[in-house]
Amino acid sequence: MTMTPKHLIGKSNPMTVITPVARWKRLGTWLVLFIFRHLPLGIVKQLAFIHFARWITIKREDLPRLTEDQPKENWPYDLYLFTTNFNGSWDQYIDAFGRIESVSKGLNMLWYTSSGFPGPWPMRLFKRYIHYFEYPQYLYYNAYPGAAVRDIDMALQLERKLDDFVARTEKPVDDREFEVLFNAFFDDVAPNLGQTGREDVPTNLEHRAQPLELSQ
Amino acid sequence: MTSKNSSVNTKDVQGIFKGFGLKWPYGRFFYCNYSTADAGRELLNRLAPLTSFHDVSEAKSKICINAAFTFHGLKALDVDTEILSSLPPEFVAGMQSRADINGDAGESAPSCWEDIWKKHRVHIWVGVYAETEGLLQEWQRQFEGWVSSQEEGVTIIGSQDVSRLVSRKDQPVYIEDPASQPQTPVLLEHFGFRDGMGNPAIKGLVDKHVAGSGSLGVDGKWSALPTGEFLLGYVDSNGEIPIAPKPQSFSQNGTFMVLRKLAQDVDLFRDYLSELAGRLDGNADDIASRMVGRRRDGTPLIKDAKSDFDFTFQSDSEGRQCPMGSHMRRANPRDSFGEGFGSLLVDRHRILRRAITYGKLVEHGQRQAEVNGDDGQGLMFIVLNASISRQFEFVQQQWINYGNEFNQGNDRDPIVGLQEGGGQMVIPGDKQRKSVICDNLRQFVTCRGGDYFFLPGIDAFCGLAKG
Repeated sequence: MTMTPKHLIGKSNPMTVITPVARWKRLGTWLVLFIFRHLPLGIVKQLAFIHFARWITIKREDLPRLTEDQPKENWPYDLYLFTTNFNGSWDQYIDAFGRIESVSKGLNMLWYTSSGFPGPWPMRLFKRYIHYFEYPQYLYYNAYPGAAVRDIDMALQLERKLDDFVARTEKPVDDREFEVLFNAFFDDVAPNLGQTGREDVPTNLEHRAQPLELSQ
Repeated sequence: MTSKNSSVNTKDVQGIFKGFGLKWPYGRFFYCNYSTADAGRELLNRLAPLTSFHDVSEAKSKICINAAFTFHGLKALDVDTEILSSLPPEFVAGMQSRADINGDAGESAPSCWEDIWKKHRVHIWVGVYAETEGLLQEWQRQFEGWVSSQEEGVTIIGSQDVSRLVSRKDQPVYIEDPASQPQTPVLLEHFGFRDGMGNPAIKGLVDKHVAGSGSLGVDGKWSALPTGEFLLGYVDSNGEIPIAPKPQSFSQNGTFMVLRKLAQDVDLFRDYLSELAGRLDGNADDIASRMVGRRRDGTPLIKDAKSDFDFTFQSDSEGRQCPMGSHMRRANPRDSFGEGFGSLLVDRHRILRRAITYGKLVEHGQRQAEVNGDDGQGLMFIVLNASISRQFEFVQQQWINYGNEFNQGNDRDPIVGLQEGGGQMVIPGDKQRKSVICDNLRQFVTCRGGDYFFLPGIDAFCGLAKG
């Protein structure tokens, strides 16, 4: 049962995964994250259903306390937080992680220090691991619920092409010339013209957010 | 006997997996109910032995019988709790309860389905495929005689005639452009397009057209899809034996079957395209082929296609040849999801289609009412897959009734997608052809009923018959 207010739900799904990292692996984790911050990650850009993906460590001594008099935790692990937004379905998202070799190599590194991480292959163990450490979102705010990353990509392309068309037709042109310019513009933007906005059926989103391949 | 290089015992797989094709072009489906487990087992014993994949390959028999169970059909047989509790939730729920996921709303809503699908009365689907109409009649006469001789329990609650359509030069199916008529005989569906081309090549079972129908590796090489994607008990494309009902003897060589009666509104389809083409000064048959994603005779729209089967979408990332939103591209996107991924993000969602048409062909210039009256025409859409939720439902929800992955926003499949008014499909132009927006798409295809079935292996079926 999700407490997420329905009116905030849009076309993207949030995912938060918190895994434990043994304290003696802190340096290793830091090193992995350092390397990843300085790597060109072109592959992720091709995976247009990922809005963003972020990994951070929370040191065991820095666990948040509500007030000063709340006793400090003596928790044996650092926490490793992965947070992401994606379009499409849960399984598809994780499938892309495991099935695309360059991504799965990267993930193997990123979660390498997390306790019990089975590696991205075989897929079922990987999915179980992610699902086990996944936390429900009790509040999720979505500023553009009717748009997915691809929708925004398309809209940005359309805007650029439209500005260009407006500039070309600013000076007076005759009807024939306008027709030629307009048809060229229309052909140019045709791949960007899908209809966007929120979907009518909210259960679609809930269904997509459910992992399908976990049991057995 | 197993086929070459195969670990699959094809004598234990039902014939529909192979497909009945033109050797057995006359079919009739019987939807039956049994009121007690004993009555059910009597029926199973009457139907056995089912026709196997091997029998179909050898083309031995003149008539083929296959059968599959709904969840309520298995339950009514009083099978072990172990089996019932290990069945996947979507199969237990049945297709009606999954209407939101499948986009069965509006005219396709379960409340509008044919009466037999209401109240879970269909327990078993019996598919009979025969060489001649006469053989089919004779089988039906004997079967009905047997049913009425049973003291209690077995009822035929509905039946459906099905048959194959083959294109002929003297039987035009085009809308306006005679040049779009298929020149060689091809298997047709009612909108006048070649049917049954998108099926996967499966390791050990279906070795036709591996290039184009299999899985496309990142190295650009094609290979047959692993057996376990379609048949239970084998390794799948994740390198694992997929989730299956227990015990293994029940699920081995079985699979899940989706059956949907899809009515095709041929009049509406042709009228819509004539009106659109007239308004935009276009070619109705060319627009239709862009909506479908192939020419009427099955020729792909991709210019550098090596054959009718062997092509990729690599040279067409914007859909200027084969539109991103076309039916074919949505149902089997191949390498549409990114350079260098091959079909990696598609392989887990392939389906084996074993559809067959019903009703007579409506020729160019005819109206549906004069051909088949109220019975209409359409397709008995049959899908075989190892997981209904991962394969059929995924395709239906993510690719058919949503356009996100194809950069098409919320736009839905122009042929089989749910249309609720105001839906569109964009056909980007190229240098020779203007771009077209098919606006205000109509519901050309409507779901009239169906359910999720379990299609057991031949041995498992005998096991169920024994009880």
